[in-house]
Amino acid sequence: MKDSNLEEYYGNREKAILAFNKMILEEACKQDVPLLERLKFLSILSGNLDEFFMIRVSGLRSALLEDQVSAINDKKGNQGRHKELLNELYQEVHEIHAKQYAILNNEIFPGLEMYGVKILKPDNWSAEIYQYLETLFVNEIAPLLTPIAVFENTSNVFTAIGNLSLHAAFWFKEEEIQEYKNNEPSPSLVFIQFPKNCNRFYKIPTLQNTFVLLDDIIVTFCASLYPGREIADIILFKITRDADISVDELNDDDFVSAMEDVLINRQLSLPLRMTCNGTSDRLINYVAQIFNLHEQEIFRFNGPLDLKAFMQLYDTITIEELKFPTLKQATFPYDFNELWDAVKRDDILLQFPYDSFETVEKLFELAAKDPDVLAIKTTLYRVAPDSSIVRSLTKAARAGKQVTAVVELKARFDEALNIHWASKLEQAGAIVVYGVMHYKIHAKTCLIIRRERNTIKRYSYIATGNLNEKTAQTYVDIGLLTAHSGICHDVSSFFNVLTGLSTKKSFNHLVMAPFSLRSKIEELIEREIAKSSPEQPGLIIAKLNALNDYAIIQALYRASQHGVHIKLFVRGICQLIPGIPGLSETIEVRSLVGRFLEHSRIYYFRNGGTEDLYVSSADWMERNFDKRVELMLSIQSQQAKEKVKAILMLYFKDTKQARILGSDMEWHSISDTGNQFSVQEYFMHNAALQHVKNINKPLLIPRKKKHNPR
Amino acid sequence: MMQKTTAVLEIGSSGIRLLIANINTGTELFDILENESKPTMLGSDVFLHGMVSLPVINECVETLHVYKELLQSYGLHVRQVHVIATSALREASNKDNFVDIVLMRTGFKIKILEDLEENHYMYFAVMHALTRESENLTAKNAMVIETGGGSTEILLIKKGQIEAVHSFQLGTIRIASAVQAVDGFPESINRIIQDQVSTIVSKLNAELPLQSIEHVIIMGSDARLLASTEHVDFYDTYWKLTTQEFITNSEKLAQYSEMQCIQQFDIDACDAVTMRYGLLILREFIRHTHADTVFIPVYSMREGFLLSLVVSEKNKIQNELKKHIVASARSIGKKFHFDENHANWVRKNMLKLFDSLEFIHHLSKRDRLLAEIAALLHDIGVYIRSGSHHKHSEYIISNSEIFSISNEERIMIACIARYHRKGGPNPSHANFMYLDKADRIRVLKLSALLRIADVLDHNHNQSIRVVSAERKSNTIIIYTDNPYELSLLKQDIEKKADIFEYVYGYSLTVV
Repeated sequence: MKDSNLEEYYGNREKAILAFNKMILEEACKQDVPLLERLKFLSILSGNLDEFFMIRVSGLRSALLEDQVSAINDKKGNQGRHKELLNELYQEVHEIHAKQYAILNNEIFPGLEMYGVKILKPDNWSAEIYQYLETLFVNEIAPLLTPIAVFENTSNVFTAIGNLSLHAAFWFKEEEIQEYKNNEPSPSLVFIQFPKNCNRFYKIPTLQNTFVLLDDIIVTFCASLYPGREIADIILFKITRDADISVDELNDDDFVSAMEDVLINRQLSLPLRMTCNGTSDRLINYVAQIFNLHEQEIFRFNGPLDLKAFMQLYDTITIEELKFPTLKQATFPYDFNELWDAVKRDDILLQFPYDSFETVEKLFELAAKDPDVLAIKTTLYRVAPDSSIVRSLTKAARAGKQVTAVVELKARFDEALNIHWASKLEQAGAIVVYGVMHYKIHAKTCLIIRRERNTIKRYSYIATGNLNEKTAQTYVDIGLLTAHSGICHDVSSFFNVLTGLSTKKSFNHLVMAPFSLRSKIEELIEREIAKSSPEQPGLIIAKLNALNDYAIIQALYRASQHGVHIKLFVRGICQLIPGIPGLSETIEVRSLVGRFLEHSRIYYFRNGGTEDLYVSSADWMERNFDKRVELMLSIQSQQAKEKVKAILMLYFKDTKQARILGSDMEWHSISDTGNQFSVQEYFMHNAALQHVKNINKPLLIPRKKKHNPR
Repeated sequence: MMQKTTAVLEIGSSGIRLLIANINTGTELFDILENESKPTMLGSDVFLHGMVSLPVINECVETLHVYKELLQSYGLHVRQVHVIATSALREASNKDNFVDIVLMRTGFKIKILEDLEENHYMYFAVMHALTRESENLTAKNAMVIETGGGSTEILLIKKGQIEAVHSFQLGTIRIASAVQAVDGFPESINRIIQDQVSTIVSKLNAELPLQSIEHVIIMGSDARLLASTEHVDFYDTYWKLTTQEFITNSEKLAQYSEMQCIQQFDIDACDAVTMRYGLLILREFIRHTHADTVFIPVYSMREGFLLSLVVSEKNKIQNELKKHIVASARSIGKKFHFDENHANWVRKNMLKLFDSLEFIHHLSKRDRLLAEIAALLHDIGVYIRSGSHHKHSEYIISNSEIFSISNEERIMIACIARYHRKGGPNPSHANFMYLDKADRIRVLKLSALLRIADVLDHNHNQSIRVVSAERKSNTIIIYTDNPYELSLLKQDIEKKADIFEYVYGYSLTVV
């Protein structure tokens, strides 16, 4: 038996992230995926890699700088290897980007052109278009530009260039500089930040599906800001900075304003890389030098920067063949006014996006206007812009219901938005709790208290994903609506804990992090070991987004060594190495990147045949166990349990999109030449059937007296 | 059948606890929605300094405000909440101010429970939780015990009948301060606890030797914590373990440091400090018994209070409760060597009179119980001296502990007993004057009946039985089964009918 304590049995976290992103890149390469969807994968990849630098590389860099190995969430003990690792990571990202732009230029753009979607380069602008764009620049764009002229000393620029903002940098022709130098001070270099509220794409009004990039408009016309001078070189660039900064909760009394400070500081922190395009190496190197960036930290792209913005293009173009066919979601099978009764009959299990999120929206809407509803309590982590849920909550508060919203301001990169609507809710009279000290509230749940025939009935909704109608269209999540009194009691206690009313740490059907989630999972794994025998081996099946917790990985190794079968579906980062003889032979790890982002967390333990099923907001990561407030629900309804189990099992049947993690820590496609099964397609197909069934339901249902056999 | 949502807020010595529940008087069940507690230093203030300090008052008010918010989410207004306070506030010299401050600042109206009322609710909780064990319990002698911050409540049950009920000033917070006053070594802790418990035990032994106790029922959060953390056999509403298991486990838990308790058991810091003393006190009491089994109900006094709201008059527990109250009164009678045959005879006639004359007195079921107890105990003053024994009866009753009978009610019983002979009330009678108007009328109505019931057994030979009663124009006629014996008492009856005629406005004829 191998010693599971050894460092070498824990995969590297950063590499695991890149391995996941390579899966996304592979999806973008697939010929059978519609072109705009492929573009979308490339766009997601860009966003992910920026985040990778902001959060992960930043950690490694600061560890390197401060020699604080402990700052890295990695038990592998990378002392002394940081530099080498960083080199490898940069190298790998370079390769990913190279492939990304190759696909973009060689397949996506030409492909789109075949469908009449064109992004016109300046060379192809007709005189008419040129004129149109020039007018546009002068009237709409130029007024928003604030060129920063740099003279001899470039140090002031360092702080002026914000994180992830696109910039143009240019300088004037050498002789001109000399000439001006003799007369008056002349800028050696000019920076122009792309305006935040401008579109990245401009549609040419006279032509169908023809666009021009803002990049090209600025490059072409920015010289006009300095009349009479000629630009020698121009580049576009973007700096990615360390964003791993959070609020100092110990020293900040006013949390909201401290959070606002963080948002400012994130703009000025350590630069980690520069992505750029342009022909002048000299200028590129010159700019890189300002930010103290070295060759490997400079990413030269043969194409537009910041592909994340290409989501706008995706949204604008309506050619059906370029996108996945519309998803027909299963809708709530009853009249929404019967929602309370339906939930009382049995738990309602929803799997988004196959089941419409409308049910959840309606739940809030109904609760807001139902005169019998006394109170609504909910956690809010990331909500959609102009969220209908926040609107319903506001309405409910105005109607005099007690509305308690536990708002997590620390939801990374969503902070500004959250501050905005939370204060709006507060103004409506809701009780807004701005999270708790030191922990991020990641649990997604809500409680509705309703008066029914003089007594109280409670309803709760517990989910693996956010109360966000927008992401619920693309994230695969589980949500459970229940009136189970034990579960509702627990949810209620959970809110009491969050609102400072209670110090309870344990519940009957819920398990809460940071208190007991870790120990509960460990206990469940240990129980599986205890109940495992060669005749009836234990079985653990888990579907989650990431697995990096050292203790849990160790427990899983131990379980495998005792013959427990372990099937893991880890969408993203997995630091457990499967298939090592004597250590993890019985562990199988799969993943899937597809049309929808797998996000649900489902945990199954055979428990000697009794079968326990849980859904949770938490992955098996250190941060989920120790730094966040999370919930895990033990599903009680038999019907819901069976449904969740069936869902879970299907993930291991996928042969089309699923990949298997090898002991080389790379994801491998499943070679299946026969009939390929795609779990996402299967769910879509089922949802569509349900959709049709519900649409065809008669609108007028006669109320008949039930036949009463004597 | 009535369903509603109600709440009980208990201001205890170590915590302010809130229970919100759906109650159903039809099924006589409740369904708990919220069960929360917040620590308070009320007990240590009162038990050490005699009063609640200003910071603690403010802290309590703040906690109550937080609870108010939670109550509002269930549509409950402060006035709909039963706010009860136990020993800590009961003993505070500034309790009236505390009650007023809370009312002014939060709207909650606190009712301070008497110790015996606490016992009453404790009993409800026990009976409800241990329904399945009721046969087992009635066959043997049992002790119900709860140790709180300021007091230890004890009920001694002899073969299903309550023999004694007490509230002793022995509590975890008091012990904690006593321990602090000495050195704090474990030996000293044990010594202090042993001394105090043995004083109480010798008192209890006089009523029911603790060596005859075979079951111990332990209430309170310390015992519940022990049961829930130590893998004890659980039966839905109670835990059951052997005495030895309880002793071993309580000694084990008592060794945990406060920090360990907080981390391992999910309890408040205040509870962690007092838990060990609570368990050690309980262990000490158990060691004086001969018990083999320990029952720990899941319910607390608060659930008992809820039950008292849902359980109807016809309920088995209610009936049992009445039996216990009467038994508790009877055991006081025995203590003072009453003439049990006479007492029983008067009691029966009293109840017959009460039931047949319901149409003129319109009194409640509870009044019937008071009448029954007064009838049983009316003569116990004879123990002191036969002359003026009605006054001695009044004195003894007003200073005794009768299970589940409140102070007010005890004074009423004492007065009813007092006026069973000689003259009626006058303004110099302090007990009578202490009662409010309505209660005075109730006392008079019942004494009037007691005088008749008593005189019918004037010779203590149990020969005249009341059969029925009726009204004929302005006269009430009471029919008995022994006209001959009755004729010998004609004059006495006439004399004793004075209050009856005065109170009811009817002339009285006994035939």
